[in-house]
Amino acid sequence: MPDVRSTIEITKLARELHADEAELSFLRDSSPEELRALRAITAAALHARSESRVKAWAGLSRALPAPVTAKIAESALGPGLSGRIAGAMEPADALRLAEHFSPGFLARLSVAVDPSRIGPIVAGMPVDLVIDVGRRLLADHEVVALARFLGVVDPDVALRLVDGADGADLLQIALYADDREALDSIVQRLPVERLRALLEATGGPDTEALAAVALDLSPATRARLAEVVGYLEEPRRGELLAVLPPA
Amino acid sequence: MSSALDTLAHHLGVPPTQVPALGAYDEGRVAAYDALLTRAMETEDAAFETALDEALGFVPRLLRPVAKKVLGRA
Repeated sequence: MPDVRSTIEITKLARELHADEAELSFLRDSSPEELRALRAITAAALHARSESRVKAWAGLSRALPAPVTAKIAESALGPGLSGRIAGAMEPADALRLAEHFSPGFLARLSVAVDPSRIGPIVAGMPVDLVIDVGRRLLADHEVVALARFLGVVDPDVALRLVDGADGADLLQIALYADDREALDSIVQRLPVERLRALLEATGGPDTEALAAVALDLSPATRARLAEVVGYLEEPRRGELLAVLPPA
Repeated sequence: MSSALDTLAHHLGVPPTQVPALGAYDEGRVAAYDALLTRAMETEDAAFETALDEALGFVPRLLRPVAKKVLGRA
């Protein structure tokens, strides 16, 4: 049976390749670590291919008024190319441009581009705008994009981002999070009732996947998970206690 | 050395020994991944070309010749 963490990595890799997950099913026996490394070099190769055009447009956009550049981005370039161009711009220039984007476009841009490539821009955006974008992602159940966001926003902001998420979305965000340190910080501070909702949403392969993710969390966070598991009803409590790593 | 792996490594811009996950796979599976990568690259190329052409239409007329030159479309 394939490692459920490999299945998660295949989902992320399919997104990079604009492919269906089924097209990558032949990779299901690869380890999650190998797949993560393959995704990294695949993303780097795709970005390198468009680098000269992206840099040329980023340079050109400095000669245009920000509202005009924003209009071009939303009307012609689309979120994928705009995200790559933003990543090639000086953060201060990109932030000036972002002020003219609609929150809806910023949300689509966040789905199309790994936030780690535009980390300084996200870090410089007004918190309320980041929250607005995050809530739009949540409304669309864009859990992969939200999971990637965790690594580029302050934990306080991340907690506000996931404030409206139900247990199922919280669980998926945790499973897809690449930045386990950021995830640890959030799980540590998530209110008990939210953490309980996350744990109640487990079942089937997700239970095993959460156990694998928990291996990367700190002993203190694992202890907190175990404490909240104790509040659950059976059979969920027994299922989780059987697989979660000890603190 | 697998020729399919050499081709994929070339497309990825890394040495064949640094292609994770696929080094132990047969030629067919390596070629299948290369086909998906190539399709993604071609899809992105086409999307970028179309988007940049469309974007030029929004550039103020006075700046358009400069913009075309910068983007290699003069």
